[in-house]
Amino acid sequence: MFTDAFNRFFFRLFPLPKILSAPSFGLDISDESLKFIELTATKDGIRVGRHGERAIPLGVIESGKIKDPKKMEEILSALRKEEGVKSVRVSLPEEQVYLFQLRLEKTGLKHIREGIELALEERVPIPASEAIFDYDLVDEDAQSLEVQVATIPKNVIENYLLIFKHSQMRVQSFELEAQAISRAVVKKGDLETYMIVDFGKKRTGIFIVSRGIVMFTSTLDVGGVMLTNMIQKSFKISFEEAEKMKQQYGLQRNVVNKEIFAVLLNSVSILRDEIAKHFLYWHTHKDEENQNNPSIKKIILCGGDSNLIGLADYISVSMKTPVKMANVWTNILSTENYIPEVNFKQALSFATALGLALGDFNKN
Amino acid sequence: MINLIPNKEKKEMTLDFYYRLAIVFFIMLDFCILVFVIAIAPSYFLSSEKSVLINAKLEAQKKETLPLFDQQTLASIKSVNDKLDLVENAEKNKFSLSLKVINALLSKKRADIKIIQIVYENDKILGKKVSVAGTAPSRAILLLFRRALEGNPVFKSVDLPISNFVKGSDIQFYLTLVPA
Repeated sequence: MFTDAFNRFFFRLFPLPKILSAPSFGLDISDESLKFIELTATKDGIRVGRHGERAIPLGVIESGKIKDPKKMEEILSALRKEEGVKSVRVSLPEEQVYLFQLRLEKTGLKHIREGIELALEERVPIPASEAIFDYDLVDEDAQSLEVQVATIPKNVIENYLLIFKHSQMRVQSFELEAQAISRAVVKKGDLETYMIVDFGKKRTGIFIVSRGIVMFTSTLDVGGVMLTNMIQKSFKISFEEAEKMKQQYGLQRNVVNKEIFAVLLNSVSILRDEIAKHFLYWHTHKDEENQNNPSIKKIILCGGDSNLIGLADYISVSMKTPVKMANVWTNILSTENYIPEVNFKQALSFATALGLALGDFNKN
Repeated sequence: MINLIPNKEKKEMTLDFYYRLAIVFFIMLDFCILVFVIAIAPSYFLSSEKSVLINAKLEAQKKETLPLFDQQTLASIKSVNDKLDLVENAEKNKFSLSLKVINALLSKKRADIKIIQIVYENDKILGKKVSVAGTAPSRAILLLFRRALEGNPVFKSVDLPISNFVKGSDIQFYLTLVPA
């Protein structure tokens, strides 16, 4: 506590030169869009710098794999020229990353990385020589270490790196989307267990974060666009009108909204069922030491379409668990003192990018 | 924090950081030198200008003819300095009589050898030497005296010219000794 306060005071008086800190943008790449945001350190605290979103044409990225590198390079080069994005922290889509827990016996263990490498092929379907992995220390006792390992095929990372290199951008980190989101929405130092639901346009990510570490990730092909499409088909209206109706009424159950509610409920119930499935799995599944996982305290909703009217209440009632909209500024700034340019709805879709950009300020 | 960037890239980033640190260090060093130069420049130019002015004044004073009173004063000072030099150097130039030399000479002298004269010289080129004049009853006694002196470590050299041995008895000899 004292050290943190001293560090804040010291760095306020003597800020790290930009040449050394190499401030980077958080870059959230999905199949349809690319979101970027910059956080800058000022004497009043962290502030939001340049930010925005660029559309990615269909077919350029599919399920996190880059299918058209040339086009992607063009998009990134344009971003660098127009916005001055030179150094980035990039999120990796969950579909490409294998996440697992591993217990390593301390006896005979010289290097943790070597220990993980030996156990890697038992856990993931890629040879150790063709994998890139990193880990977080979850727990440690006198005999063993418990680590959370993330692994990705080397060629996926190399493809990404090559594209960034050709676009003259420096990559500071490749992180799990879930890790970036949890850094943005879970208060620093909060070691409780939360389920984070990232309700995006086309996909929804379900993550469980415990003791500040991402323990579980899953992705569904359910998103806001799917809801809009259902309204569009049911009422035979344009996509824009359907989107407007979705935003206006959402899951409100009243006389005017009765039909939309019924339409949306079909899709939202799929999401609810998936959340319930993972919720139940987490609470019933025992770890390697046959111990129960810590119970989930709260479900946190984020993502561009998570502010659908009534969604939080619907999930909360059906899951009998508190559901809260994420506060993506929780580790960045106090909205009581400063109102950021990015509005609340927009900020929810920037959760990943904000979490990535926060990596520059993470002293761990 | 899990970072799935390859190790090679991580190492490059660390190296980059140290390069940047070195650049910052040298920039700061240059900045400090610049500040130092700027801070010291007025004093430097001021003192340099003063030095030039004083030298010019001194040259001008040297060229001026001195008043009579000053000339007399300078002459007196020069005279006093000369005397002081003489007194100071007298102690240095004085040839110190060495008790060791005389004792050595007398201890090796036989009773039948008579020393008439001992002269000490301090030549700037040849160094110190002791010239001894005396009489010896015979050549053999004189030779023994010479050998006794040669065997004494107090003397570096003993020079007894062969002409001293011309006469067979009541020889008048001249000996030159160089003290060690």
